[in-house]
Amino acid sequence: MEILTVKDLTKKFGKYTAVNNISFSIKEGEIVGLLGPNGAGKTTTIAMLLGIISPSSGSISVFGLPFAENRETILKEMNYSSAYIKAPWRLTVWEHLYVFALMYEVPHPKERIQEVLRIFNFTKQKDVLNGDLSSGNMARLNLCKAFINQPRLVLLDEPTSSLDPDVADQVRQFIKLSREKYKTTVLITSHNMAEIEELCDRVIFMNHGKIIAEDTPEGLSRKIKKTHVRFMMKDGTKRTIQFAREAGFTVSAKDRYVVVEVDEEDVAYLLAGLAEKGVSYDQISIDKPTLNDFFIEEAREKH
Amino acid sequence: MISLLRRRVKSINFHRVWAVMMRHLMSWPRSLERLADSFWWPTFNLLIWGLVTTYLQQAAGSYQFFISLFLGGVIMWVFVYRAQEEIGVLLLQEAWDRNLLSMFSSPLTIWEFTVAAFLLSILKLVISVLWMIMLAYFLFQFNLFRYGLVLIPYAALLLMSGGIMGMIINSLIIRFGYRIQVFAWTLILILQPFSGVFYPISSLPFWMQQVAKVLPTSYVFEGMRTTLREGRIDYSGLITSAALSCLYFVFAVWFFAWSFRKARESGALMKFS
Repeated sequence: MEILTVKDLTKKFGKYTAVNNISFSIKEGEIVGLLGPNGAGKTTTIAMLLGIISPSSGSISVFGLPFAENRETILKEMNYSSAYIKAPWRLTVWEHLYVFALMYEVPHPKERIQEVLRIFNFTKQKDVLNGDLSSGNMARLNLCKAFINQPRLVLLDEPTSSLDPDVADQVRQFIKLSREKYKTTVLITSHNMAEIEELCDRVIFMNHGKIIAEDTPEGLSRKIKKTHVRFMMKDGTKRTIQFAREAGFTVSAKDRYVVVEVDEEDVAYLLAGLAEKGVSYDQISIDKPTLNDFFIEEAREKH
Repeated sequence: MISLLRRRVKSINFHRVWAVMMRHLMSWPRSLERLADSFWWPTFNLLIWGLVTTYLQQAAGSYQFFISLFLGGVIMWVFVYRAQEEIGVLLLQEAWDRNLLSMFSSPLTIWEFTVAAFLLSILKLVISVLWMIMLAYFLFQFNLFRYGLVLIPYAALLLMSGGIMGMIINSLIIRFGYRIQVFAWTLILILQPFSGVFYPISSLPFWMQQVAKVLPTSYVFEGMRTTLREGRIDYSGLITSAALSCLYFVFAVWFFAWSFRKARESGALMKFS
């Protein structure tokens, strides 16, 4: 069942087109990453999905209902968290969550708050004023708010950007658990590519307001043909650089390390050539392209 | 001591002093708050107290009403000011707390938010006004209830005027963002000199009297003076004030809806995050 369907969505601010005729859909229980460099149109797209910005053209359907005509019904079963929003600093954690539990008409709000605080390991802070929370705990509070109504669809805008690795990992585990247990559908933006690779079933890559790629994280990584061969040299740094340059490979060297960028099928040729030149090395690693490489290449090339 | 002072002065680097001054001089014309401090408040105080003094000179001999007029005016103006401020600052409070996006990405509608603001302003107003009535009674033996039951429609009309201004100011803040936030506590005061809070409209210059004619608040304060002086209720003033209030209320609702729609089109709401 499709939870979210976006069709020919466009947003223009005067002459500037922030989102240019994008279409995509997300199935129930899917975790989809929305990636792209700054200014790609991700935040504008999310704002349109929440009704904070109105589209110039195109349509959004959530849970099979047109968004514009069913805003309140849809938003009751959706939620949102962003690293850029805060909470009233004179309210305590518990009071803030209670306000939102009422707004989302959560049945048995007090019990649900307790549950969410426990899930996010946040119970001890329930009486702390929001203004006294660290940025990590503020992000945790935003996540508690985002799951307070057991949403069917949740939009997460860089949810772990200010969390330490341990808490960020807990959040990722919770997102996975939430999908397994409640079939929660998640649309997530993040600049942490490892996080996207770990969490997402599918990635939508945007640049200059358009969707330029849509695939699994592995599928996107495979679009990058270059492999990095990294040597910790013992002897023959100069010969390695010379051989790589003559063969037309991109090469960089720093201290004892030399990195050669080659197509996957040329790895054997490179290693054989270096052996022939009598080069010796202590360590070698062959790094396959990652989502990060795809991101960097797309962000730079299409600029 | 003098030598210490001399050393301190000598140690001052005037390049850095100039840098700090420049930083504020450059932002001063762009900040409505700072401009209001420099121009609006002095102008407002001069105007109000100039008009009060002029009235006192003209009305020499009828001082017996002055305490009632002034204290009654101060208390009743609170209905306008607090209603407006409560509604305006409520929206700004959410923006300052960077909570506005969370609120409006929930099922909460802008109308639910406005009704909550109205109800909250009435609740807080009742507390403020009761406190002021009590103080005025114990400190100056002034009893606001001497106006009788007519106080209820007067208070309701002033509350409505404050609410209308609150909605108009919120519409402007939603549309233009933080740069005009100072309107939340200054714009309402534009109405005060024209409303005849402390003096009769007839003591105003002719052009100000013309402006007063289209303000619902001026009829209320005139009516209060009539009740105090003559012991009767000015029904025509009351009806005119109610009719004008309804007219402005319809405009405020339309303007608010229009501004919110425009803010969603321009992405202005995102700037509050």
